Amino acid sequence: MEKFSTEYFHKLANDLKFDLSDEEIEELKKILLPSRSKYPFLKKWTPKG
Amino acid sequence: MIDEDANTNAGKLAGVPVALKDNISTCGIKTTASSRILDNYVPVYDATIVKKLREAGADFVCKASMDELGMGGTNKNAYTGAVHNPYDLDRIPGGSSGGCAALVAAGCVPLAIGTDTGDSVRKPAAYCGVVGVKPTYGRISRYGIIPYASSLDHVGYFTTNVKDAALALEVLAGRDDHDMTSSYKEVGEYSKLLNSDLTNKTIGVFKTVFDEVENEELKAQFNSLVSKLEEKGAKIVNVEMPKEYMELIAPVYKTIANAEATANHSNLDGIRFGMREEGQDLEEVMTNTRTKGFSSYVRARFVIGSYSLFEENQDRLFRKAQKIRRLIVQAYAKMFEECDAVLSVAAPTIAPLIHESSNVRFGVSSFAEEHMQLQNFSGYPSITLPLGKVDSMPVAVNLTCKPFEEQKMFDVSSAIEECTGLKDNVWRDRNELFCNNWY
Repeated sequence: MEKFSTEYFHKLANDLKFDLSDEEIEELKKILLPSRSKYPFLKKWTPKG
Repeated sequence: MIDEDANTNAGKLAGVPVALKDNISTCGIKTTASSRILDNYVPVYDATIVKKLREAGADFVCKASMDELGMGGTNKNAYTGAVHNPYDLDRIPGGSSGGCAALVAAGCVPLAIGTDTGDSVRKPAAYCGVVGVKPTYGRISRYGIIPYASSLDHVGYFTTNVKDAALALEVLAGRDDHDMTSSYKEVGEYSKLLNSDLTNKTIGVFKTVFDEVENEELKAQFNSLVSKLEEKGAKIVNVEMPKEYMELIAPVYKTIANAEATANHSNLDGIRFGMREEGQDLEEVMTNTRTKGFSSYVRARFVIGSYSLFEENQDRLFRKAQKIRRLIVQAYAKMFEECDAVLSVAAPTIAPLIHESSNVRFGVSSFAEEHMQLQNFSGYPSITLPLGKVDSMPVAVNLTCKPFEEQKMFDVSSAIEECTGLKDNVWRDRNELFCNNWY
C-alpha cells in the first residue's frame, strides 16, 4: 500500500477503531504532508542518547 | 476578589463560587470534556481537586466549555458550544480552557479551574485579561482529570488577582496517593507570605520572544513594565534561547501531545462509558461510536499521533521528539542560572477574530505564539498577568520561575500587579450582562 495514499489513511483510521471519509482524508493530507516537510527536526536533528 | 479573612473558620474558600472545566470529574454531574463521545458520561467519583475545593467550602456553580478533550486553542472546537471573548464577542477567548477564562473575565466567578497542556490556561488568561496559573508539574493532583497528554498535562486556574491565585494554590496543591506524579513537597502559605519587595531579585527578560513580537504598542507597554520593575529594585538582565530550539517547540509539542493523546483516549470506545452507537458486533460498535463520537479534527490528531508511534516511525519521530524536548529543557534551565524569574510577552497579539482563527495548526507557527509550551515541557511554574490593553483588548505578560518556587513567582507577580494597577480587572459592563440579558 502506497504511503500517504487515501487507502493508507483509511487503514490508519481503522486501526484506531474509527472511520475517516475521503473528504476528511484530503483535509488531513493538506495538514500533515506540508507540515512534515517543514518540521526541521525530522531531517537535521540527530540528538544522541 | 476572595475575602479570605471572612472565611477563616469555614474554610479558605467558604462560599466562593467556582467554575470547573468540563474535563474535571464531578461525582453525579455530567462531565463531557466537550466531546460527543462523553455526552452522557456521569462520573461516579470526584477528582481530588474537587474534593479539596469542597472541603475548603467552595460552591461549584457550573462546568465550563472547552476545546474537545483539551485539543485546541480557540474554544471553537467544542461539542457543547463555542465560547466568545467577553471583551469582544467576535473574538475567541483562547483555549482550551476558554470557558473558564471567559467566566472569570466576565466577573461571573472569581475562581475557575482549568487544565494546561500547552498554554491552555495561560494563553486564554492573556486574551481575556485575567490571571492564569500553571504551577509546577506534580504540584496539583491530576486524579480525576480526563487526560490529554500525560507528560504535559497540568491543572491550572484563573483568578482576577495575585493574592487569590496564591490562596487557591494553598487549597489545590499537595500530594495525592491516587496520582503517582504528585509531589510530596510541602505546600506553602503563599497568600500570607506574599511580598512584593524586589530587592535582590533578578528578573530575566526573555529577549528571544520579545524580538519576535511585531506589535509596537504591546512592546512599549512591556518595556514600560520592565522599567517600573527596575525602579522597584529588581535587577534586569536579558536572557535568550537559541532560535533553532525555539523553532522546534511547536513540532516537538505536537508530536508528543498527539501521540500521548492517541494512547490516552483509546478507552473511549462506547463499551465502558459514554455514548454508544449500535453495531452488528463489538468491533462495529466501537468503530461507529468513535467515528460519530469524536469530531473530524480530533480523529485527524489521533491519526497523526498514531503515525508517529508506528514501530518504523518511533525512532525517527516520537523518540526523537522526546530527546529534543530534553535538549530544549536543558537550554531553558540554563536561562535561570542568572535570574530568579523569566518575564516575557504572553501572546504576541490580541485575541484573534473568531472567523480568522483556526485550530488546525499542525504546521510550524511563530514561536512567539507557542513559547509558553516551554513550561509544559519543563514543568516549571508559570503565571500570566494582565499588562494593559491594545485596541481595547487585553494583553498580558508571562512570568516563570524554577520548579516549586511558586512563592517567588507570586511575590514577583505581586510587584507586577502593583506596577500595572490591574487588580480585579474584569469586564466592566457586567451590570448589562446581569440586568439586560438574564432578566
